[in-house]
Amino acid sequence: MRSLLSSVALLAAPAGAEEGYRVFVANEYAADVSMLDPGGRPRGTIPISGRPGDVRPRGMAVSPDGGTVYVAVSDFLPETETPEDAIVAIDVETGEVVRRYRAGGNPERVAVSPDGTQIWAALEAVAQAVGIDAETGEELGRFPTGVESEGVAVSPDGRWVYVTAETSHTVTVIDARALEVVTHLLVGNRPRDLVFSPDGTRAYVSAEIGGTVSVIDVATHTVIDTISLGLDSRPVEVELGPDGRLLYVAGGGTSAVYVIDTEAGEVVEVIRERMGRRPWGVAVSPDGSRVYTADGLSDSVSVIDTDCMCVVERVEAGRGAHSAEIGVRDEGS
Amino acid sequence: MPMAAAGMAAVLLAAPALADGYAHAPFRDHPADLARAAAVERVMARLDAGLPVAEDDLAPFLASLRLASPEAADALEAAVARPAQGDPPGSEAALEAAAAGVLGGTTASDGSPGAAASPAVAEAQARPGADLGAKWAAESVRAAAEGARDALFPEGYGARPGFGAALAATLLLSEEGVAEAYEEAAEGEAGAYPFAWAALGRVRPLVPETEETAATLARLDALLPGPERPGRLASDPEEAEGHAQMLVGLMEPLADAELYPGRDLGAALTTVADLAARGCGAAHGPEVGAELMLIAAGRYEETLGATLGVLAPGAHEAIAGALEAPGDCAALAAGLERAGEALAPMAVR
Repeated sequence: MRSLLSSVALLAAPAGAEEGYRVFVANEYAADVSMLDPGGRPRGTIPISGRPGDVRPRGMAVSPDGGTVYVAVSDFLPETETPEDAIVAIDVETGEVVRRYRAGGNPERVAVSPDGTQIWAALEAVAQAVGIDAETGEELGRFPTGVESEGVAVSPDGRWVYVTAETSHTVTVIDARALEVVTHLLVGNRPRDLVFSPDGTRAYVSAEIGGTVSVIDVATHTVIDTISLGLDSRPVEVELGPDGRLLYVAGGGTSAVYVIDTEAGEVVEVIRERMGRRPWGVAVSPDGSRVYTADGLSDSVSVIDTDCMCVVERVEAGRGAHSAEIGVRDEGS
Repeated sequence: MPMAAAGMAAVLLAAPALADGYAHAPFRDHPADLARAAAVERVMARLDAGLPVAEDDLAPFLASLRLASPEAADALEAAVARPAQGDPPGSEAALEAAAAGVLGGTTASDGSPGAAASPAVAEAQARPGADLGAKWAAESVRAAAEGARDALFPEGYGARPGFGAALAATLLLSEEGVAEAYEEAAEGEAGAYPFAWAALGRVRPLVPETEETAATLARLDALLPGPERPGRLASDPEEAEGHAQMLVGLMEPLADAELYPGRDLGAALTTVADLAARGCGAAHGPEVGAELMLIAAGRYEETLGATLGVLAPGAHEAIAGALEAPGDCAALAAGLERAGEALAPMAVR
């Protein structure tokens, strides 16, 4: 499959595809991260652990300058002598692991503050979120969340950290300045991932069993709308286009990507044709022209052209493709 | 109806309707019967796994069984008590039980279990060291449990739309289901692995067969390959849950039935309030009332406990406490009302 898919990708890569960014895909079962160029061509595989299956890279986030990708790494046998629960930092330019931040408690997803000084992770096993000083690696604090915390995001002004919890169906709001929990609010059933709008007024939360996206008014921390994708959609990762108008939702249940017009608050496209199986992760290129999905059951990445809202490539990733993220390279490189 | 039960009925009236989607809502329409059926199937799974059955395992259905068939209830109670007393095959008690028809047509001429043992049981019982007396006792319980199932569900599980699929979902995802048992097994709990394997065997005939459901069942089979625990389980204790969740998701459109009892929390609260109101009302006697409260407590923990524990801890403590030690129906009604306020319904486009 590798040779076939790679050949297709090479032949079909868009002419003059910009080299300005890399697509990173966390492969949960392979314990590594695939690195692709914008056309989907493989540019390397970054090993995360020598214990595949036990140690699993899952959610990812990128630093504000795009130069560092952070990976939440969960060690499912943490009683070993050297537990590997961590946030791993990868240099986008070199594709090398440059730092590991200790983060016990099964970190599932990770976020970075807009100034790049704070790393936040949802610790699934202990129903907490942890804040970490990106420079010193010291913990800023641990905060109680709902049960089985998963998704985490920091508001564009750096003030709020939102953390989803899949069993209690809640979002916990943490004040990142005061370092305290502000409130918990109810969202759709089994919330997974979330993203803030670029202007920081809204947050969008996927709900896997609810088949919905909850829209939160950030000023009041209240749900103001719930957009239905269908009960069988099983949405997981969400990502906004650069202007915040379109929200892309990975629909693991129907092997589809749902496109929501955030102004209208409704689904405007459902992309199914040629999609890989069980898209779980989703990332959008810096110019918004491409969307990449991490397809967990077909171990692939589907590349979507947002002009036609259609899949133009499907390339191989590693085993258990889980999340996707975009890292930006230096202009001069 | 006592005042507190009437108060819980008011929660019913105030709660939102189930979200649109599928034609059938078995968890809303038959919550008590689903819990009873799941308990019966768990008894069968314990037998399939070669695990003992205790009186507590019968609690979710014994009182209603006694209403439906006092003879079947007596037979089951006696059969469950018997292994503890250690009656060997051929003993007077064993022969009496056989004569009373507890074993029905499954008894062989020597008093041992006949041909009705399932392949899973046959496999489990063929293991070296399996004790003949224990085998016989297990088959006594099995025969009595089958009698109980027939008395409680004379038309079978398939008579009500979506009921079988909802039963499969319960056996997969409830606190005493396949996924949870696998998690406990991965964490080292004795007996959890064979139960998970046997419970999956109980799920299989209830799942509509398609290419996708078969593939998902195969992934669960790979985790639970046989009655003997493999040398190593998946390092993620929730590995089975992911596949079980996917299987339930696949079954929903096939059964055209809502199979996640907690998807609509308002509806889940309505169901708990309804069960609790019936339990407090005790229209069919205190034993059935207690059974309904037990079922209400289980449903509450599975659908609402985690959420209210975060959003309204005071209400959660009041409800969980009142359900755990039934009697204070007024406190339960008050807690449910506060819970309703915390779960104000959201508009869905």
